[in-house]
This record gives sequence, structure tokens and C-alpha cells, in this order.
Amino acid sequence: MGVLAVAIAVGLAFFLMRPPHETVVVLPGPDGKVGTVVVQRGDTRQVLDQPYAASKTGEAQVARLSDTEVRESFGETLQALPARPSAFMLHFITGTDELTPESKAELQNVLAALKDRPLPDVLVIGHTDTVGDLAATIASRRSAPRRSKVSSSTSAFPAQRIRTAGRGERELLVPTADEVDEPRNRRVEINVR
Amino acid sequence: MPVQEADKVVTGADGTVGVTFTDNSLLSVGPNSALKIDRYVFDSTTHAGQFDSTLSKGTLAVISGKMVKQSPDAMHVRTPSAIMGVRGTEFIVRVD
Repeated sequence: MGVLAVAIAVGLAFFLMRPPHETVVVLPGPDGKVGTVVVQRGDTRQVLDQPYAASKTGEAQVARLSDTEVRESFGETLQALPARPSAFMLHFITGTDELTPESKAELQNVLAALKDRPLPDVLVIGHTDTVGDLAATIASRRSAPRRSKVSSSTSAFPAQRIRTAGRGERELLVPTADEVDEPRNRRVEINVR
Repeated sequence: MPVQEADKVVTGADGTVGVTFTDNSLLSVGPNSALKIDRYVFDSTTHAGQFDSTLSKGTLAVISGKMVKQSPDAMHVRTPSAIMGVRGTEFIVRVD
């Protein structure tokens, strides 16, 4: 009897003291591409860069899970992920804050995307070409009225859920040398999320 | 409901939560989970930032955002036994 009690006590202590069991799995993106997660556990370092590559506590080797195993174990959590942000590109008639006809049509798609989301949030991002010395300053000055123009076009939408950002010439749509006037680079990007 | 640095997201047996961050990072936690946002900063002009969180129990799904694209060292997820560096990807974590 005493032996059994001790055995139970030891078993229970072992159960309570066992290290947490942890699993990390890298998933392929919608385009099939896989990024990298580096898992550092004490002195062990595992690099996960293959689809469904998994790192588990107590296992030295990187495992590989099946899509079914992932769904069984993480389905509910994956379901809870918010919808991916969608991006729209708007261009202006040079020298004005008037949208091009194509972009006026695209703006309707933005409004449609807003309706698709339960709690939408809008990010309006101004991009410029490489003309100007202090690109960032000039960029924000030049694109500010355009951004506000786009914001007012979505007037039915609460202003506190619209954010604006200026990226200057950091994300050129068409790569150019410095000081190149390129209308395609002067644009407003809208993220609906 | 806004989620900010130092906030903790805790779910019950039948709860799940999805969160979209300002850099377009997407996170969700499954039932019986606890996730703390240790640090979140993001500069929307330069895309520089830092995003550290700790999953102490339960499940977490992550789709990394703009700051990881800008600097591969910007995002870390901690668990009781590990620290993960995220180099632009989608991944899931479970702590039992």
C-alpha cells in the first residue's frame, strides 16, 4: 500500500514537474512560399524553413507534420486569423489631386472591400518619385493633400479608423535613378484590413 | 478593441481571438491560451520596428507583417522553453 502511494506521489510529481510540451510549425503561405523561423531552445538551435517543418521540445531532429495533423491541432486557431489585408493602388493626374479615371474605378473596389470586413481599418500610404533632395519631407508635403483627398472619398467611414503614412521614395513601383520624374511612382496605396 | 504593448490576451475554453497589427502582422490565439504583447513599435514611414510577444500557454498563429520584411530581426515570440526569431513567414505555436 505504502509503495503504491509513493509510486503515485512520484508519478504525480513527475507529471507536475514535466517541462511544457511545445510545438512550432512553419506553414506555407498562400503562394506556397515558406519563410524561416529560428527556434532557440537552450543550447539547441533549429531552423525551420520547409513547409510544415516542426520543432518539438525534447526532439533533436526537425520533424515534418502533415497538413491533416496541423488542421487537427491548430484548426480552430488558424480559423481565428483575421483576413489578410488587401492593397489598392491609386494614381493622380499629374500636378493635381484629381484621381485618374482608372483610379476612380479602383476606389469603388476599396469601398467594396471595406464592406466585406467586420471591423475594417484603412491605411492610406503616400509614395513619391525620386525628384527632390529631402525626399521624405517633400514626399509627405506633396502627398498629404492627396491622402486627405482619398480619406474624404471614404467619408462614410469613421475617421478614427483611417491612418495615413508617407513612405517617400522608399518603395518605388518603377525603379529609377535619383531625380527622375516618374508619374507611376507618385501614387497612393490603400491597405484595407 | 485596440490591443497595445504590455496587454495580455487571455482566452477561455471556447474562446479565440484574431488581432491585426498596424504593420499588417496578423495574430490569432486559440482556446485556453495566454499571450502577452511585450513590445510593439512600428514606424510607418521607415517600416522599422520591434514586435516581441510571449505565449505562456495555448496556441498561437502568426502571419508576419511589414516590419519583418524590412528587418528580419524585428519579431520574436517567446514560450516557456524557447525563443523564436521570425524571418518573414506564417507559423503556429503550441504550449501544452
